[in-house]
Amino acid sequence: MPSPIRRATRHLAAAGFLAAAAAAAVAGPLDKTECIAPAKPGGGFDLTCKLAQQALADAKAISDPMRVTYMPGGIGAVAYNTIIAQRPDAANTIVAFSGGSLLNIAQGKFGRYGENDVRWLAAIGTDYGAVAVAENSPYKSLKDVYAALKADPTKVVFGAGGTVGSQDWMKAALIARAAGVDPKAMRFVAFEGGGEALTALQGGHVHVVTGDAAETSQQIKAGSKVRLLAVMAEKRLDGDMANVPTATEQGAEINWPIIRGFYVGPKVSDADYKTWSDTFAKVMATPAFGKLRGERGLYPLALTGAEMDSYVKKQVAAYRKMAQDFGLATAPAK
Amino acid sequence: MMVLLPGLLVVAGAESWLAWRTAVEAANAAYDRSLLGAVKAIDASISTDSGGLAVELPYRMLEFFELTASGRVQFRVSTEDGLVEIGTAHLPAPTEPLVTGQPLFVDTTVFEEPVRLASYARVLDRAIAGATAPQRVIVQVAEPLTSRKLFTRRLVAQALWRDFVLVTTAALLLLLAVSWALRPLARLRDEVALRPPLDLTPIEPGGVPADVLPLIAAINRHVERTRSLMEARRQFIDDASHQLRTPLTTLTTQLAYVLREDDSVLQRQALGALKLQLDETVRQTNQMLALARADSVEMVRETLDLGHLAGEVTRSWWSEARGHDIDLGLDAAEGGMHLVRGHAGLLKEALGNLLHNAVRHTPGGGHVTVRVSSGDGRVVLAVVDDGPGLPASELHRAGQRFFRGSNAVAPGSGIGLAIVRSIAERHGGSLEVGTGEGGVGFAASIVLPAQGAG
Repeated sequence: MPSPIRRATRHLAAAGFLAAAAAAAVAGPLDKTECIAPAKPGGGFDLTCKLAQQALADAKAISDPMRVTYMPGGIGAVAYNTIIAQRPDAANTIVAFSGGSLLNIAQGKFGRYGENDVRWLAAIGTDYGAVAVAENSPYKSLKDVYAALKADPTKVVFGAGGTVGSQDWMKAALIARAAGVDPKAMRFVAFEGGGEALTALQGGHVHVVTGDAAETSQQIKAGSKVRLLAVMAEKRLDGDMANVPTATEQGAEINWPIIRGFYVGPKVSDADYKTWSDTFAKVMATPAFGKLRGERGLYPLALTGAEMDSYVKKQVAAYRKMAQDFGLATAPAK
Repeated sequence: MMVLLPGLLVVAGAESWLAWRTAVEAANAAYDRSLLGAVKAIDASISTDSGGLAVELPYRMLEFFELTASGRVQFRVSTEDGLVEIGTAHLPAPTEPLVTGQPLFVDTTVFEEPVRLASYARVLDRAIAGATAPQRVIVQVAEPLTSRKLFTRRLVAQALWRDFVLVTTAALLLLLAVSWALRPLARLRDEVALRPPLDLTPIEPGGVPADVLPLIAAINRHVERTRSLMEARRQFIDDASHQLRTPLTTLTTQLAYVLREDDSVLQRQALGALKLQLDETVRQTNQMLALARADSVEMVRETLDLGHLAGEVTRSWWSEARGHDIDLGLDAAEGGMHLVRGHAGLLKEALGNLLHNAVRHTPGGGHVTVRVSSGDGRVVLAVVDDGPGLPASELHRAGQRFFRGSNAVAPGSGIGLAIVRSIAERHGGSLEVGTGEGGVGFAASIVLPAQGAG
């Protein structure tokens, strides 16, 4: 329990910040902040942390730069366990997570902790699943893939940067299911990451790669000879992906948003949580943030506080059901 | 049973522990094989064609693994330097360096769930991910321990149940066998308990186990000895009472005569005769008591020189012998050459009895010699006289209680030699009788085992 004096100081700080639109130097959770990216440098989590780092700095919500530290393992499992067990009340630390992390929580791959063991803070953007083929692939649309699958599932090899049960596998399984093929009969090759999968795609070792729209479009920009067949979103994406049809347009409704956001430890105080939450809400409402987000290839999704919490819980429940439908092991809500 | 049951339990306990260990090893051997199968299957689906690490894992195979492991199976494929990694990232690294091609099985935990982890390394067929030379790929598969533990527990439970049944059956059989074997003894016990107190007939050993027969035989011998002892006592009491009746009757008659006689001189004569008779009766009674005592007195033995003892007793009889005009001689070395272990008092009494007999039965002018000799592990104490002796046909009855030779003229009870025989036999020796020197007279010899030879 923080002493009454510290509590009073925090309340003063929060009140002061809210009153003044312009940022002034504040004490409390926004002092000497840290963002943990639960992966190796350069991946999606790194991207998420760096986005927050820049956005908060640009909006002068924090006075000293946010540190980014790395804690790889299990798409966030190691960081999750560390925060809950060892730093549950670290108010200055936010941890990046993604839809993939939530999927793993639903499947019990985060150890004995579940979705109720941390405080979900904010979502700063989303990506969407995407289906890519080689430039010279005979498949011109998702419908061609469906047809080929129906004809002979063994002739269509999927590849992705994840193993059975991962997001990318789920995306492929949904495609197979849409084609009327049992996902268990689907051929799937796991690579170390999206990059390697696309390399293999170009080499003809796999025929279809299910990945993330942002990452894939960046690879295409960088020169990869691949083509996007579909995006798994409700409506077409803005920007470079405007002429990529959605999966829904091509016969079956497959939506796969990949949320990117942050959580804090379970014992962070309500006041500190509110400070963070309000800060993010403010920053994400600015047009400057929208620009930053777009630069990083993320699509709009801004949630904080209670709204964020219920989104996460619903998403985890949905993943749980999907995993059960596919016959994968799941962990019950804890 | 008190030793057997705890012993059986200890053995059963040790066997159960062994069974548990064996079950654990069996479970591990069996389940590790299937785990290795999973490792090999994953290894077989590793491909480096695309220039990176790729694993095509058919879903059905994973399903199959999970079926046999009855739980989640996690796997990880990575290059040895860890830079390229597919699968569950947080499997613990192998605890010891992996030998290429040799799987390593350990019990460990993944996020606190106990699992069995198989680790396996082999060399990739080409270099990938910027490495200059082909490096090793490490395949790891983890399965939960629940199946194994269930299997082990079931095996152990079966073994425990078997042991329990075995021990109980063995104990029961043992109980049955022992009680059945002991039934004849119970019957015997009842039989003996129902006997009247003076029933000394041998116990019938029919039907008892062979181990008990020696006991029955020993008891029977003991009972027999008691029986003959009681028989001898009874006989003695009969004889003694019969023997005493006569002198006592005589005494009564003599007393009656004395009371009837008025003449004081005749009275005095009659009283004199009565006194003689009384003396004789007293002596007889004493002798019978001595015989009873000789039979029953506690034998406290000491090392004695029979020569010295003989000399002592003989010298004390000299005056008596002279009074009867008998030449009493001693022929014994007193230098400690004739050593026996015996009761000094009893032996003196025995010698005394023999001397009494000799002096009384040898007429005046005769010779009595006390002789002690040793040889052949025996020491012989003999009293030889040249009196009338015993008729040859009656020699064998000398020493029987209350026997008097047909040619006896002096008064006597017939117990003297019986006392000597009893004393000799109590010393582990014997009484030998025969004629004196030259076939004349009587010779009575106490033969005793020499000291160290008995």
